[in-house]
Amino acid sequence: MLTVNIETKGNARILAIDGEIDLYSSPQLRKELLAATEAKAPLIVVDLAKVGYMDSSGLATLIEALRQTSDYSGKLKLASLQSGVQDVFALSRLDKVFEIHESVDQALGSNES
Amino acid sequence: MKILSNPKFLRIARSSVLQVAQLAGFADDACQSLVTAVDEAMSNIIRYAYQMRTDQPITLQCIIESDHLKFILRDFGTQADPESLKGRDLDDIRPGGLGIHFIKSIMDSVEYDTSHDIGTELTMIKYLPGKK
Repeated sequence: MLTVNIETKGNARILAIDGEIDLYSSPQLRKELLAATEAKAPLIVVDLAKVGYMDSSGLATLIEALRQTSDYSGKLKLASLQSGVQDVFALSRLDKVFEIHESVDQALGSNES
Repeated sequence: MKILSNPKFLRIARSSVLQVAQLAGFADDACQSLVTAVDEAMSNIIRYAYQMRTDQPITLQCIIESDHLKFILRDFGTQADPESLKGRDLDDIRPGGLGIHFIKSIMDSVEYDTSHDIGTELTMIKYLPGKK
């Protein structure tokens, strides 16, 4: 099962995901991301430190959220990808599309510069 | 193994594929790739062959041969459309359509057999380390 912990830091909404993201759990992630984009959160950081697996439905969910943030000039960033998840982003070339950071702090810090 | 087309069972298949891949001698990153490919193929069956019905059968065979690892997936739903099996241009950034790309990128051979009266049989082959 997937758990999503939501934290707010300044204007940033941080979604810390714990579990595997697949066809079964990606709707839950989508629901949480939709809540953030509908609220027009200026910055959404998706913390993937505890995500050991992500499939194409997870990627699709993130792409959808990225588009939604772009529509209102918000930002979506990813943080702390495990190596297997990094490989999936590289295989799909989405590592060139998303802003990916080593840590949540780095993702938050990069917004201030 | 035979499982129902409920997405909640995908993790069981992933776990089995991981163990088979490790048994066949693949390194960790290659094992993860194989898990991805089979998981994507099964997700496609659930989505397209069974239109998200959760009570339909999917069989998965994992066979370690002398020089390759073979995965055979069989469903009994809507047959795969060859046009939809091509994958998409990665420069076209949009949700969806990546599963086929992953499968074809990871596996050495991918064959869809729609000659059965019902459903599709998908055979995916990965050569063992040092055997290609």
